[in-house]
Amino acid sequence: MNKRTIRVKTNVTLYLLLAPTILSLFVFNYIPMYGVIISFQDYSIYRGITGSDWVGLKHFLYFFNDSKFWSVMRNTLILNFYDLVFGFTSPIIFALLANEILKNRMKRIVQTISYMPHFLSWIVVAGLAHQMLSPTDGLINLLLQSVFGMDPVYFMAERGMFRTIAVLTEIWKSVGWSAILYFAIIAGVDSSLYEAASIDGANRFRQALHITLPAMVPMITLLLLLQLANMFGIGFERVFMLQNPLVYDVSEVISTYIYRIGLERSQYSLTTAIGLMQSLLAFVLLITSNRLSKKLTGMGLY
Amino acid sequence: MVEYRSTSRMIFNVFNYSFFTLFCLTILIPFFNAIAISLSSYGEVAQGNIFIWPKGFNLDAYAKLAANSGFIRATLNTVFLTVVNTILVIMCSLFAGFALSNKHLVGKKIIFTYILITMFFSGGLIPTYLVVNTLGLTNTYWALILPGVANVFYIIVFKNVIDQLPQELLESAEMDGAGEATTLLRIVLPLVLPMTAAFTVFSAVAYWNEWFNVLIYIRDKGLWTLQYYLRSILLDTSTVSSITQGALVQGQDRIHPQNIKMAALMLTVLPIIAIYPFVQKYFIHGQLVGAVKG
Repeated sequence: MNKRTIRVKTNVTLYLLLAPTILSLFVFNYIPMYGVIISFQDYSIYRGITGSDWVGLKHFLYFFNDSKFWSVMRNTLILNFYDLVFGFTSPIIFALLANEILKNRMKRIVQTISYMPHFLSWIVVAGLAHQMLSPTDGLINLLLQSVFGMDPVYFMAERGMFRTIAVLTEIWKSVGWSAILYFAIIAGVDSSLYEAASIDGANRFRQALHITLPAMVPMITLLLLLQLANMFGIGFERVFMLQNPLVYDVSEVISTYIYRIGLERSQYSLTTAIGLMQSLLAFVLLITSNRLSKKLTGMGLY
Repeated sequence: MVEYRSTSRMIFNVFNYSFFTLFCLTILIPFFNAIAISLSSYGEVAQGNIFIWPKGFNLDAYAKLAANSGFIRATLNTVFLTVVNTILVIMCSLFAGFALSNKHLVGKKIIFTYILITMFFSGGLIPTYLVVNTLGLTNTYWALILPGVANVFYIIVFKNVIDQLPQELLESAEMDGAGEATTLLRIVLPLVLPMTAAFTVFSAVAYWNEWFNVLIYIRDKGLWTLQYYLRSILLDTSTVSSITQGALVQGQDRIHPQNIKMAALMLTVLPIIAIYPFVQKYFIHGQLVGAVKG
């Protein structure tokens, strides 16, 4: 065989190895991207994309003038804002504090326990949350009752409690796991920096503030960018499992709304339009926040 | 590291250690509470003051679940889907990553871009649902397998890891007349085994926990996964009563719905908690690689 036939043979094998991936992406990613055009149609499942009527921006105008949509939008932004203020900062604080545990055994135990909830599904986490917060036999209510003599609170049905619960369960589930990235950075900080600082009389707090924290800044910036780009998206599973009809008006976010009116009420075109707008907003946000970050800190995603 | 013995340091340590002890307890107590409830008797659960120790110890809830055909079916489905999906996604990613790192591949750049684009753009929930529906996959196992076969993130990591392998090794294999398949299995795979192990564990856990696709694509109870069955137990009283019915009619050794709920929850997380200590290092490995490459 000459070199040429070998090359051809090699390429045939390589294409065969790539075939499942290429095919699967084509069917389940590229065709749906094309399918987004149904947001400009009155899509009927019986008539298909080719047979459905074009309606221009009808669906976009509809949800723009729909008060329900704006309340969903508001919920999404508020929950994301809380996630940013509390959920985003907690792994940073967690990593800084855990770094001050000087006994390695204790540190390892804390890490092992805190990573674990990340591997549970939201169904399990919500199941545990329902149990802990139950008005009849939940531990939280038993505690409130015995210590403060309070009447049982039906936390999951309180409209005012939903966001607190959603933010706290998210922190419970992921704070340890998200801190791993920061632990890795802390482990990589040159220890001579700490030695020099302590000779100069800096205590542990000042060392954390002036050495450890600055070392974490690039990673913090990067993760903040990603989080900002996602301001209009909220993980479906968390909200879907924690909400119930009593708290819909504060808990419904874009993803659960798309599911509920898209799949349960077959409003395919309308919800595709909402999804498209959400993707466009995310794209714009990503580019804006990246630019902003490059200007302010000199660091960006790309 | 220098130990500090100042008073402020002592105060801080007391605070810090108490904080982390408390934190670990908030993670552990819900589980102990769930276990205790699942093992307690009807009367004690109904009174509702079980903390972390069972009262009126019994295994009735677990026995009921182990004998329930729906629960068994869901468990078997989950095991089947976890195994099949994990094998498929790891194989496809390894194959694709390997092919993409071969310098002789014609059209490499185009293919790589084609794969990368799907990371940034997607059609969204509804158009994807419509494709799956049009293909007639809804309400079949295929809807729970095929859409997840290509994992772009794994592909990129595999490609990068294989790119970094010593090229002489691959070239010498080529000189010896080894085909691509041989090179992949005999030379590349052993070298990327740690990465492969990490991703295998990762995706196995992800598929064990999977229920979203069941929610949108599956109507037939016979295809439910364990997580989805658990959801039904937690939310739908009729599912619970279908499990406990015998016990309720007899009036004796009655089982409280909370018994069933917490027992099902514990059975669902048991495999993950059981493997967790042994595979923790793979999880961390995978997470860190993700941060560096992502």
